[in-house]
Amino acid sequence: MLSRRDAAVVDCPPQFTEVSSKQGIEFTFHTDAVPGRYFLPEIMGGGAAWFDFDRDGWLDLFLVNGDELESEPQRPKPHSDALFQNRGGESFVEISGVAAATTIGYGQGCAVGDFDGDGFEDLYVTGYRTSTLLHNLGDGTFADETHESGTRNDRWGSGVVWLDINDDRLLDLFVVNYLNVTPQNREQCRFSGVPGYCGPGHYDAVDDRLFLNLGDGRFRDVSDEVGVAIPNGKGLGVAVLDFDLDGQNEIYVANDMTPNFLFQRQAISGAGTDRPAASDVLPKFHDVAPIAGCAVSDIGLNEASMGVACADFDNNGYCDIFLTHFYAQKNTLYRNLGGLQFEDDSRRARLVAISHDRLGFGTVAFDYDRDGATDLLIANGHVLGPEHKPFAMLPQIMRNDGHARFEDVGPQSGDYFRQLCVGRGAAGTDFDNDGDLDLFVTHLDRPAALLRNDTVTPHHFLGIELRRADRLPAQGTQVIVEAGARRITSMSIGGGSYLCVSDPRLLVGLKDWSEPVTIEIRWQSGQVARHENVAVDRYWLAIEGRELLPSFPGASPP
Amino acid sequence: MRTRIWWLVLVGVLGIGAYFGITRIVAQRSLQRAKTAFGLQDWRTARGELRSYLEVFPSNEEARLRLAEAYFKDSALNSERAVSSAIQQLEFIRRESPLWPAARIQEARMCLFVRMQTHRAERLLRESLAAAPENVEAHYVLWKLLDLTGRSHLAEPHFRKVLESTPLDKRPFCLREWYMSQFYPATANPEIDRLMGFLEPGAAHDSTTEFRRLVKFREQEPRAALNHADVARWFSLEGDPKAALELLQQALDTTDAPLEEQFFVATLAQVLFDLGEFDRALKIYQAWPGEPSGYEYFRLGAIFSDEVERDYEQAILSYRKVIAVWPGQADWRIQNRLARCLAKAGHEPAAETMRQQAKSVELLMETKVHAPLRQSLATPDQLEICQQMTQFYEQLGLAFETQHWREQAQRLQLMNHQSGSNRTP
Repeated sequence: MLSRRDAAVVDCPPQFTEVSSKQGIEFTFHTDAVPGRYFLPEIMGGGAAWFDFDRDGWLDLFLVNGDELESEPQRPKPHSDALFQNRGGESFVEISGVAAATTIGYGQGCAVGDFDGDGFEDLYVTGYRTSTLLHNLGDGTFADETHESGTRNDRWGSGVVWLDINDDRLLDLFVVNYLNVTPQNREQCRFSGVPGYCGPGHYDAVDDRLFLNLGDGRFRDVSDEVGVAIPNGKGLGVAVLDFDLDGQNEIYVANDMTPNFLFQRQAISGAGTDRPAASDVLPKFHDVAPIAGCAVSDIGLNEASMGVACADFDNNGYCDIFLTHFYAQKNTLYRNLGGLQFEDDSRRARLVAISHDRLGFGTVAFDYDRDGATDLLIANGHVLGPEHKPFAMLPQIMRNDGHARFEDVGPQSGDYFRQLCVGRGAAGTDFDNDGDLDLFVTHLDRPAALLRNDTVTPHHFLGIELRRADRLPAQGTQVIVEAGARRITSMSIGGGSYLCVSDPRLLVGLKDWSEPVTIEIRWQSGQVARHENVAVDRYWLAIEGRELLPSFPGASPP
Repeated sequence: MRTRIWWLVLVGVLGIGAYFGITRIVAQRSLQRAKTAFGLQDWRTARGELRSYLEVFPSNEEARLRLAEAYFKDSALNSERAVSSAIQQLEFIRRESPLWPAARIQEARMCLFVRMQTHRAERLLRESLAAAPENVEAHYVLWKLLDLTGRSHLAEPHFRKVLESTPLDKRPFCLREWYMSQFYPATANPEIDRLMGFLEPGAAHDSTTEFRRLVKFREQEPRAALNHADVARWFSLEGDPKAALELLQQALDTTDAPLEEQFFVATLAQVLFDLGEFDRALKIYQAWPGEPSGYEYFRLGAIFSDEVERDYEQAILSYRKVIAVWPGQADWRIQNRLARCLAKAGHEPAAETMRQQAKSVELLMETKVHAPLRQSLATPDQLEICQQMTQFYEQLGLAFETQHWREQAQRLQLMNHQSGSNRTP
């Protein structure tokens, strides 16, 4: 009765090959770690963004770098950020200098969004008491417009996401802030007598900020007005999506050792709709996480939330929340029950056993073998410092058995997953447009790694690039793929992971279904589009209000 | 000739009578000397005198009990030799004897404190209590045993019995011990830990003391399933159910009737649940040995109804049972579970109330609350301290403790008042 379970047989063992050097991506985050200083920012790592800055149909890569933490920020900074241009999925070329895509100060996270609606995606980069808005000028270069735009965030920013909070078709900016740590108040802690970095409990929180896009290149800080400046949020990860399928996105903030936030936009009545009647009406946000059951663990513990990945892991039609946590804590899966109610289902998901000896940061929800069940990547690594064991840890691939029960198949996934490293940011990207999601991980102790997905699978896929009629990001748009009797739901999500931006396209695993499928797209505008007889094993471009268009990998989208 | 024979017989009988009489007198004197030696803690002499006495009165069970004590208390003896000799004496005491419970307690003490055989000690104490349910010493030792084995949450009935028979003016000290059991069980008994060699003289507990103690207990009685469950529970509480399950799996094959022990079953069901093995956890739980009640039983029942069967209304009923008994009142984690369950069942106002209750209990569990309390409890028989403790327990909603600390506060207030009046000219 109690004999050990046989190890599950994995139909298609994951196979990832590290191809960073081969592809021309050489980048190591400058931590500025000074022995004995134990200044917390130096242990938090940096982010990366996958986006098509030149609109050539191939995702490029922007990498955030650190700087000298206790010097006055210089321009150009000694340890510059990096922009790698994707040359047809074959190789990458660093063009940071030419593109002037570099920030100021010690960088952390980033977000991609076209704030001025010119068709070219811009970048916002958070940092330790600094931030930069990089305007993509469309000619292959960027301009730092932080000062003019009024988006400077002099707090310790971490996660960040673009979203339209008031339906004025302009992208606003939500910046997650972490802790009030300064060179003056920094502390050194001792763990079993050995010095190390003090955790978030030793420092005060700093409020998150929301910058409202005024439409003329300027932004206004409306954090207090809209209600997102809540004390005691020690935020790191952030995700924007429609959890309750009511047509309005919520903002989920993963806080480190304080309750997580779930900001729900208050309904504003007007002409039979609950949307704001005019763009100058500011909505109010309320933190409903305690009531929704996704603020703290099932037993009421504040967990050390770092990264966040949202997906419909149990195929019930609603997006669940996966959070990475501290060493000797469980990672948590909040199962979405609908009606904006969640339950901590980490035990049923079997996460406890496979997360207790890890400390997770970046995480990506993806279906590595296209079997229709969303799996997870987790980048792990401790924070106390190299003097403490374990510091470096194995990264994980968590295979979903289709019932939101996970198993760590990392050791079977390729050499990278058998090496100890101090992982931080993680992102997913189909950089070679071959219909499977490749992975990208940033580290503290080694160069960033691009992991090509070489999993051999007989399964089929469908790739969808969503584009709203107003060209805003499709966050919260739900896609339901009907493949025979199966219905697979997925959603476009803003933000996610830790400090990183993933490929915005949806990749839906169809298992052994190779026939044409039906796709239903539920746009945030309320419009529902049904597309029949859609061929599989390829990408499609779905533009709101129009028929599906074939999207040719590598070709410029229409 | 006949008369001579009669005389000889008479002399013989008288001689024998005299011999026995003298022997008895000598034996009684030995007993007296033994008592004196006890008072002087001269254990060697006491043992010699008692042995002499027992040669004459081998069925005197009280003397056997005292001799066992004289072995046990003599630090000059090799402890194992002393314990073996003592236990040998105690085994003479028959089950139907009124001294039988006391003998079992004595034996239990030796098993616990010298041999570190917690399982055997517990069995003896429970046997003793079955024969003499009001025996305070048995309750006290069992309370301490539960503390030492990481099962202090099951000690409340024993504490209550001890408190009942504690003189009024000594009750603050007993209440202090109970406070330590409730909130610092792993470090509640530093003197015992020193006695048993888990703490160096003058040293304080560290994070490994409890673990080392539990592992030692398991080593001493490797076939006792409870000892394995105690170590497994430690791992489980440390957040490592995988390690806990490994230990329990091994114990299933190497210990005696593990599934007959409620605590073993509860720990196994809990770790299987933590590891997501819901079907196996439920199966184990459903085969609960003995009376289907008690804190562990209701707690697991509530969690399984809630998370495995998703029968929220049933879970709410069970959760309410759990939070009504110790340690449920202080368990803000289980209260949070109840709050979530209420929310899932659609009882949001009740959920909000429970969330707030859980939060306030959680705040009462913080170090900043307990550090000054612990410090104050160095002198628990002070009016101010009793008032402080009354307030703390009242906030926590523990009526029994509140009442007893309040009684102490009133007693001390009265004493202060009287002594104040006496000073008044």
